[in-house]
Formats: sequence, C-alpha cells, structure tokens
Amino acid sequence: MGIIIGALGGLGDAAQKVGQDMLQAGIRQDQMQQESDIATQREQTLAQFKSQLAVSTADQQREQMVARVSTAQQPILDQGIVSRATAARAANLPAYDPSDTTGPASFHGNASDALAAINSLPDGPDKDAALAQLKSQVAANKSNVGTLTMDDLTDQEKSQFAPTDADRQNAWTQAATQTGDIDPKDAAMLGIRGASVDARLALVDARLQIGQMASDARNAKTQADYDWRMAQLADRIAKTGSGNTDFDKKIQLLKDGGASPTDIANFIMERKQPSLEDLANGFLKSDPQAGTSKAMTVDQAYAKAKALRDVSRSVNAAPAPMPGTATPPAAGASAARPPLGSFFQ
Amino acid sequence: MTDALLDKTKAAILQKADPRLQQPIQAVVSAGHKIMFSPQTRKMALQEMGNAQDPESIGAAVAKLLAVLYHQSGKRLPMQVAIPAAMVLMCDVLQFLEDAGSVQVNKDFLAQVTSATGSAVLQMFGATPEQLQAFTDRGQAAQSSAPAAPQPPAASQPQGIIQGAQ
Repeated sequence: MGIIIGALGGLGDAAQKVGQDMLQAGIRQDQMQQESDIATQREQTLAQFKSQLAVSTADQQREQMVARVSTAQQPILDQGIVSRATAARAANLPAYDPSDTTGPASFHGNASDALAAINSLPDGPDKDAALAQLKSQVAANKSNVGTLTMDDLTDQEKSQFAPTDADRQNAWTQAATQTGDIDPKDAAMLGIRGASVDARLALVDARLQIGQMASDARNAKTQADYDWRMAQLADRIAKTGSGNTDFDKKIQLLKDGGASPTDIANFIMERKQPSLEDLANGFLKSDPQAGTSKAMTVDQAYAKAKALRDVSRSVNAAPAPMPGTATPPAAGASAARPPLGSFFQ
Repeated sequence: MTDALLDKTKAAILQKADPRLQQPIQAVVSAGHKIMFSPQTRKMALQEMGNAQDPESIGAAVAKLLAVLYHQSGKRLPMQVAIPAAMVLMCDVLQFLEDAGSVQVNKDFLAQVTSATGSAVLQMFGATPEQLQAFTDRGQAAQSSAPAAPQPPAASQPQGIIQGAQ
C-alpha cells in the first residue's frame, strides 16, 4: 500500500513537472509570437517612417531651391528696373533753357517724340544731321544720368518700370541657371517650348479667325440667297395680282418659297392694313360735316389717312436692339434683313 | 543591421540592473515597443521620431514615451525599472532612426543622447538641477557605458511631471 501511494505520489510529481513544462513552453511560444509580431510591426513602421522622411526631405529641398533661386532672382529683377529707368531718363532730354546760348540748337523733351518727328522728315542731309544730333544728345544725356542703383530711383520709377510676368519668368530661369538648379540646356529647352506654345496659340487663333471668316461668308451667302429667293417670290406674288387679291395663294407662295414665319406674318400685317384710298373714303364717310362747306375734302382725307398709316408703321416697327447686346450671327443676319415688304413695293 | 555600439550599451544597461528587475524592465521595454510600432499608436511615435534629429529632441521623445508607459502602469512604475527601461528604449529608438537613415550613431552622439534622455526622464521624476548635472557629468565620463539608475529625489525637492501626478 505504501509502495502504491509512493508510486502515485511520484506520478503526481511527474505530472506536475510535465504541466509546468507545458505551461512554460506555452509562455515561451506566446513570447516568441509577440516578439515576431513586434518585429513585423517595426518593419512596417520603419517603411512608413522612411517614406515620411523622403517626402519631408523632398519638401525641404524644394523650399531650399525656391529660397535659393528667389535670392538670385532679385538682383536680376532690380537690374531690369534700373536699366529701364536709366533708358527712360536718358531719353528724357533736358528742357529748353533760353539763357543758354552757347551750345548748338538741340532737341528737348522726349527723345522718342523727337525721333518720330525726325523720321517724318524727307530723306536728305537735314534729316541725317538731325538724327546725328539726337543720337549725340541721347548719348550725352545717358552719360549725365550715369550709373544708377535701385536706391537712386524714385518710388514712381520703381512702380513704372516694375517687371512684368514675362520678365519674372525670364529672371527666374536665369537665376535658376546661375544657382545650378536648372541645366542651361533645360533652360534653352524651356525657351523653345515657350516659343512653341506661343506658336501653337497663334495657330489656334489663326484657325479661329479663319473659321469666323468662313462663318461670316456662309452667313453672307445665306443672306444673299434668301434675298434673291424673296425677290423671285415678290415677282411671282406681283403676277398673282395687286392688292389683296388671291391673298391665300400669295401666302402659300410665301410658304413654298421658304419665307420665314416672321416675314410671312409681316406680309399679312402689311397687306391686311386698309389701303390709303379705303382709309380716306372711311374718313369722308364718317365726317359729320360731309356735304357742307366745312366738309373734309378728298385731299384732306387722303392726307389724314397717310399720316395715320405712317404713325401706325412707326409704332409697329421693330424696336432698335439694346446697345451692347450680343447677337448670334444668324439672328443678326435676320435682324439686318430688309423687311419683306421692301420686295413687294 | 543592428548597431554593435547600441547592442553593447543595451547589454551593459541590463547587466547593471538588479537581476530581480530584469523581467519587469523587459516587460516595460516590450510595452514601449508596442506603443512605438503597433498600427494603433505608431502615428504618434512617427510624429515624435520625425522631429527627433538632435540629441535633445530624441531624449525628449524617449521621456514622452516613458511618461505614457508610466500612466499605463497606473503610476506604479518604479524609477529603478523606469530608468533602465528608458535607456534601452532610447537605444531602440536610435537603432530605428539609424535604420531609417535619419541619424548616424557614434560614441559621441550616443553620449549626448544618453545625457539628454537622462535629463528629460529625471526632470519628469522631479530631479534637481544638481542631480541632473551629476547625471550629465557621469554620462559624459562613462561615454558608451549605461548610466546607473539614480536615487529617487527627496520629498522636499521640486516635483516633476510624474511626481506631481502622484
């Protein structure tokens, strides 16, 4: 019995040891798994950090490049302002001084104006002498102006001769070439590309202009065709008979002839208006003094009817287009078209 | 590729630590790794490491990491564990930054970062300027060797972030 209990106790110890080993192995496995997970996550974090650093470095390099080129660009821009201001001062010749009788006759004021005046002279020794005189004066004046710096310029000059966008672009390219941020070959290519873009834009512009001209020509042809058709139509309508005889037939002729609805409507309105004779007769009939010495004469009734018709026409006339109102070419052609009535008078 | 200098430093730190504290130190370091690298929290760590280029900023980043761990532990992290763990984590941060190509670790740089990290961590625990100076001097003298864990400051001394929170 004692042996059995002892053996069982030994078995229990052995089982306990196995359990402990299993537990420790499990713990070790968990630990290894954890370390493996952390190592994987570290690699992921490292990759993310590297890309973050790359972006940050690229941003820094860009900022440094911009700062570097901007610094190099400023003197170039300043030089351009000084150069333009110097030229302007040299071209502005001193005002006429009547007390100065020592020197030869000279030009005063703006050299460009003087040059334009000289150029308008007929060719000859006088013109050549005047030109030489002006050149000499400008050179002397330039020498008097001397070497300027930005500090010598007035605020007005700085503003007046400020660089344009094109100046800035050129100065930027020049500065970037100086700092080594752009290869001179690339800078040259930039210029070529710029010129190429300009050429393409000019081509597009030319094409647009040609298109517009073609469109105008088509519109003019269409208008001429329409006018010709309406003139033909007017002949046929006239042959149908004067006045309002066969009115429906005339309308049908207009429709078949391709007259626009507006023109057909105008035709109907014009023709359905009573004639002057009818109006005059109407006035005479409605005149209460008719048959007396104060009665309206036929001439008076006719004049009154004519005046009434003129007033009516001016009221019915289409209003003038608003100034500045954009009109499509086709609509514009229609508006500019003579009234259909002009073909039937 | 691991940096031999950093490996040696880490081994020296752990060797100097009380053997009974080895496991808690490793546990704190593992927890620090989780904060640094796990997808949930790595954004913060990346931000800190992105700004960590010089010894001072690297030391400050390690101190911030330790502060997070301290609060995670329910403010029960003893300084005898925190300081060596911070130094091991500092070595891991340097290894990470070196792997990324952000810094180049050498003996002098390591000494500077060790000094800066020790100062930042001790400031959190409320160390006095004198203690900080002593720590700095010791760090410079020892160069690559790991700093010993400093004594906790007396109750009358100025309190840092961590002691103030207690």
